[in-house]
Amino acid sequence: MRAVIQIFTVLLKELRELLSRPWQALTLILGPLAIMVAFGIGSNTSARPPTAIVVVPPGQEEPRLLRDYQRQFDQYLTVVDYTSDITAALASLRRGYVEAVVELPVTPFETISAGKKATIKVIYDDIDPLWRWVVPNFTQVMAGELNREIFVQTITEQLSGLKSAAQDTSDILRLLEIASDAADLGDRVKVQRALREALQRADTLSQNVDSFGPEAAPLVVGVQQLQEELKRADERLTLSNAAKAAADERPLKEQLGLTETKHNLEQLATTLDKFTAVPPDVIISPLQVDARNAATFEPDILSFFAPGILAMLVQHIAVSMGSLAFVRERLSGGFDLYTVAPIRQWSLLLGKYGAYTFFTLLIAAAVMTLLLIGLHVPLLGDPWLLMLALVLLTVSCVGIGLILSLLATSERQAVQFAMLVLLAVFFFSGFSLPLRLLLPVGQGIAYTLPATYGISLLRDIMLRGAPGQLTFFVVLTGMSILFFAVSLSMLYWRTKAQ
Amino acid sequence: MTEQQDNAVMQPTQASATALHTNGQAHLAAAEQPAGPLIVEARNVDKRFGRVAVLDNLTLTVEAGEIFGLIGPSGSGKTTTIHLFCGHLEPSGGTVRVLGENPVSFSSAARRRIGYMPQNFVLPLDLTIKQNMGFAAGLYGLSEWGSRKRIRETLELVELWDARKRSARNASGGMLRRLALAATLVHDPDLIFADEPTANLDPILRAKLWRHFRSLSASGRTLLLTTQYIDEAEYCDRVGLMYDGMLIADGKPNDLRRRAFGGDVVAITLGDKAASAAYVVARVPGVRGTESTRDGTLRVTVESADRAIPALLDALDSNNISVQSIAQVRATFDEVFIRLIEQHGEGRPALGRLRTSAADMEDTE
Repeated sequence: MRAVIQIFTVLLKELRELLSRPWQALTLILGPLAIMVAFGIGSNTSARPPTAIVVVPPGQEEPRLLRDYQRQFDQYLTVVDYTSDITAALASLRRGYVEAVVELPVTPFETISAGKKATIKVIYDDIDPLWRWVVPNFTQVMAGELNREIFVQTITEQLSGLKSAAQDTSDILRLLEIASDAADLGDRVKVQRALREALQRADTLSQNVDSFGPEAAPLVVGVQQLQEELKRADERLTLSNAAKAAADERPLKEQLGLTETKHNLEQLATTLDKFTAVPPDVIISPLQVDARNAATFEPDILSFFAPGILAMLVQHIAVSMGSLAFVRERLSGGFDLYTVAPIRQWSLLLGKYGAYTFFTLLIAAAVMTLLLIGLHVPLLGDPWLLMLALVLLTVSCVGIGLILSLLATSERQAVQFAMLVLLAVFFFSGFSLPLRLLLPVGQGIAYTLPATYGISLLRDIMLRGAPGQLTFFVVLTGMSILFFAVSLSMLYWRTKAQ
Repeated sequence: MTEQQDNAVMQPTQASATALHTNGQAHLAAAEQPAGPLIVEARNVDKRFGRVAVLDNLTLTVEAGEIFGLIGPSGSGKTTTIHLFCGHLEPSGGTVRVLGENPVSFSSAARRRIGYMPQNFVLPLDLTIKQNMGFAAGLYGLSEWGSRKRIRETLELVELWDARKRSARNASGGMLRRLALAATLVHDPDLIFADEPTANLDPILRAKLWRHFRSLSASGRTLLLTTQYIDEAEYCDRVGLMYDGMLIADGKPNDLRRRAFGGDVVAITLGDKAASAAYVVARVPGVRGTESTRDGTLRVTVESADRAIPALLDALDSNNISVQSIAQVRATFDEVFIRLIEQHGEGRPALGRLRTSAADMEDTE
């Protein structure tokens, strides 16, 4: 009973001290909230195209590349100016007015026609290791889009030639039908007229197919074969005499090979259909990616960072209060009261733990309520699990603070320790950088911090609806026990007579 | 420093001494009672911090029901001695026993019997005076509600009950001192270590506290306290004078006074023939020494003032030396301690140091 009174006495004393300045507590609640609101209002989650000055070749006010592909430029660059003065553009880049200078090639289409690549120069000036990929990535994607667009146009033009070829093929087929019918009737004149007309169409078809390039080689061969067959049939018909005709007892259609020519032409038409049936953008980009987010909820930036900020807040309050807990009393001499009074070290420690945990959770509950109601941050998971995560995070962080407090030799040093922990949490806990980006050494540090587990659990419970790793609860429990044991043994050491 | 300045320094403390006079007499009677068992015992205790020796061969005992005052200038080792008795420090040499136990490993039972009042105010400033009392009681396992009567009594004793709702941060230095004392007494300890409990208090309140200390002592409580108010030595059963980490004298106040001057002191104000008076007086049996002061007073050290005064008057009268007044001088403890320090062999530096500390005290008042 005496121990309970002593624990409660220390707890009450600490709480009374903390709550004796209500404005401080209120600042702890409203401060982070105000920062979060400002962050939500003042930040942009979408990847904004970099600002750029486009340098056009001298004497070209509106180069064709810009005129024909303005949409691509606007989509991947925020163009603030067009100029032909590269020096002025680079000066603007150095001063930070723009993020990139894009220099267009002088004669891009001529260069391409000559079988060479035309180069768009992109110059940027960024030392941020996390964001210096932005300009290269955006401009690479832009170049890809430009290439695709140019290619689509070319293919479209070729496909229009293919469509004419298909019409030619259809006409030749129709003429062969007429010739075949006339041959059945023995009307040699009509056969010859149809064959000659078909031969003319075949010449046109040959010209169309020749312009398709190497991809259309099978067509060219097919058309050449058609031309030869038609010529052969025409010659055979022209040179034939009655005797020769009488000697050949086969029907005229077979003598001229019309059936076979027709068959070959049908095959050629089928090949042509295959070419014309594929849309140009499929030919250019035959593969596409269908990326789907398995997350049931896609939070905005405020909602995404809210659990992390709450965890950081909990961690910082708990560590800061804990770190000052003993050092102030040690320096003032108040610690001596504890060493004379019949209070056990564990009672003293439990009293401090209780007070700081209660106060931190009070702040966390207030901030959480405002987040949910005021800022509409979702809580998709079980509130009890969220509370459990917060309690474990708080207890473990209070433990860290108390250890620092027993290590520190001055209040200033205690504050410095608390700041170091805050810095470590900022960089390693997954708050600012995803843990997967850390190397094994960094991850090793990350997993020694309770905030790493706290942030992960809070994010998962609030934004995914369930904790990703239940083992994190176990780890936080273990850390809490470990830090209590360490702080207790350090308290024994500190209360030992000097 | 001139004698006049010395007197000026002593005046405030003499005023408080007057206020406590009646009670002081009661103490002396109590001090004559048979001694109880040893409550605090230090034998040949040394304490060093690194190479710096803070206490040197300290031997000291305090008996049950006794008020033992440790007196000495700043830096003489008083607070270190208290810390050793409370178990905050471990002696570098020698042994310390308090309530029959080694303070470094006090049992809970022993701790419950001890009250400790540190030199500085160490209670939480953000709590009210009453909350601080609850906190102090709670450390000893007494609930704030359960000990409310005791809290009220103690706060009334130090005249803080009316200010109980005031935050300690808004209390004056004197109020904080009283609060610290009340917090020390709230669990009704048997043994009280108080480091300068009356510092920064007005003479009236000091007198009241000393009366309470006496009543605590009368009820069997033991007090070991330090003070820089040298006149407060009068109200202790026994006094230890510390100087440069050493206990250079300890005993009952009157014994120390006699030890300092080699006997009682009689002051004779002469009408004339002052020069020859010293010669006459020196030949009176029982006279151990004479000293002429600037104002013409002849100070005579004798074995016993009661027996010497008639003899002195006879001798002077027979030599036709007129006496305007003759009386036993009750030397102030400032004088007593200066003498003792001088006898200890430190000479002028020690004297200067003690006087400086006395002047400091006056400044703080």
